[in-house]
Amino acid sequence: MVQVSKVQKIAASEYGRCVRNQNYRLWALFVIGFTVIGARVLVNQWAQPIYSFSATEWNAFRTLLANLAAVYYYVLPIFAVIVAHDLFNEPRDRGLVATLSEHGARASDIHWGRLAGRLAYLSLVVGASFAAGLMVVIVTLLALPQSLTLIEVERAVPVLIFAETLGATVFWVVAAISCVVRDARKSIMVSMALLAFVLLGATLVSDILLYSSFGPMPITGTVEWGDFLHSARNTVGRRVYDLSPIDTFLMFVTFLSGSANFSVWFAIEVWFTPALQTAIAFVVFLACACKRRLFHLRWEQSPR
Amino acid sequence: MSEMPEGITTERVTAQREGSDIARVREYAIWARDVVARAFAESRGRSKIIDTVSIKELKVEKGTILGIVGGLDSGLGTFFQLSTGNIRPDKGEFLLFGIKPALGRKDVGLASYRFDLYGQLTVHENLALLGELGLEAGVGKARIPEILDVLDIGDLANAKYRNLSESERRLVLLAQALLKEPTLMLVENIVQGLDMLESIRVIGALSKIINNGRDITYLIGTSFYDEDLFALFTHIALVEQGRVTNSKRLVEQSPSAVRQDIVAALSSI
Repeated sequence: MVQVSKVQKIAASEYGRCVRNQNYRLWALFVIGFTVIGARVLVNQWAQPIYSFSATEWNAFRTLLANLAAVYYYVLPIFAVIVAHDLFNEPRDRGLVATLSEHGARASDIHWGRLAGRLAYLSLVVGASFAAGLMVVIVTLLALPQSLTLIEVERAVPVLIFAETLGATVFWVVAAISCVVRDARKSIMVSMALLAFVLLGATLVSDILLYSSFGPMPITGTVEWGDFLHSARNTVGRRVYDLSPIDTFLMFVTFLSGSANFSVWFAIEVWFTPALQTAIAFVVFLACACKRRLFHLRWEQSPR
Repeated sequence: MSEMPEGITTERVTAQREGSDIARVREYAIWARDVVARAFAESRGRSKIIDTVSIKELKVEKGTILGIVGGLDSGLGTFFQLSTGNIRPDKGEFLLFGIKPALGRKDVGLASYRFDLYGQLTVHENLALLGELGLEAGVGKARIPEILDVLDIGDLANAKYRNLSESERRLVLLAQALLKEPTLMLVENIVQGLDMLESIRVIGALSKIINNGRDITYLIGTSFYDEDLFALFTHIALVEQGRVTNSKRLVEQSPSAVRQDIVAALSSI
């Protein structure tokens, strides 16, 4: 059985406390982001059966939440970079480790303790946020007027959902890793966070270009392909924007395997969006790699 | 060939001699001979030697207040790393009270300008945390009020470390070193970067600790000439280009006499 030393426990609790205090404004934004996204997930999964919406009301309500969540998909990567930067740049950190070492703490204990502290705190943030999301859903469902009429703006393009999901996933993974990995690999982490941000930004740009060129996609299309999906997720016949990220991912895999037959709209979205994303991401990444500095971020460890 | 008395073997005689050597060495707070130690820094996964310290002989008797003086790139920092067990000698022996230095030793306290504490915690919380790390449960915590009183910073107990002035932080760093009730107190460049008034405050606190009556040996490293600080020293040693001179008793502690001693010692290196 792994013994957790006293030093690890203290380092975990104290460091968690310091991180929490130091970044409380940014963490607050994370909490709000998780709340909105959590609310969206919860609504999609559970809310419809327990509340008898009409189709229009239901779509409007879900679209509202989806757009709120989308804002955070696009905005939060910026904060992810700031948080990562903040956590990695602990200018007086070495002095602290030296002091703790002088009092008998092993450096590995301190680092493992911090890791545990950060993970514990991250878990707390995620847990609290989803709990808050649940509250938002309950309150909204109770307060929602019956005669709600909003224009349906959500697009039925699975690949866009997939791109958003991918970008958001990369971003959240980066944010999570940023919280637990120390400065040795910070340049990679910050690069990834920026890449995720660029990916999401590019999705937005490509959407605008697509809409200005071709107009909106029909929203009531159904998925009529994919034996693979049929066997895996029983997706055939469902409205595309009812699909979960996993369904969307499986659809994408099916498409890439060549077993799908899509309309030209879908093909454009599938190929144009990732191509533009990749191009922009590559250019920005190359520029960052050459310049080594962006937004005053440190890309290398300062010399000891 | 002389014969051994009955019942006494060669091994026992050797052991007795070694035992008396160890006992003699233990009489010294610091005992070092023919030491060569290197400090490394890691850069991009590679180790690089950044400093080397050599000590031909250094003996510091218990109760001494040794000022160890050296420039910023003289090897003073490496000497302190050696004293705390952060680096080990490649050659020779370096002993504190007859035992090799090691991080976390309860009889050695270190206050260094390089140290730092949790900015978000209060002074009391920081000290309690360090006490909990290195001492028996509750022991460190019980000592905190007394230490803060000695240093005259009792009113800062509930202040957050990050809100303290630079001199107040240095006083807290002195306090953390005293938590262990050390018999050897290492103080490294504690007034570095402080302005005149701040230096006076910190040196005053250091003087108060020294005059507090406890039997502590002090090793006070400094890269700057400060008359008030130098007036505390009973002995002096120099570090220059990594070489450490033996400690020399200061007969007269007037600033000019100390300065003369430094010049004389420098010319002998």
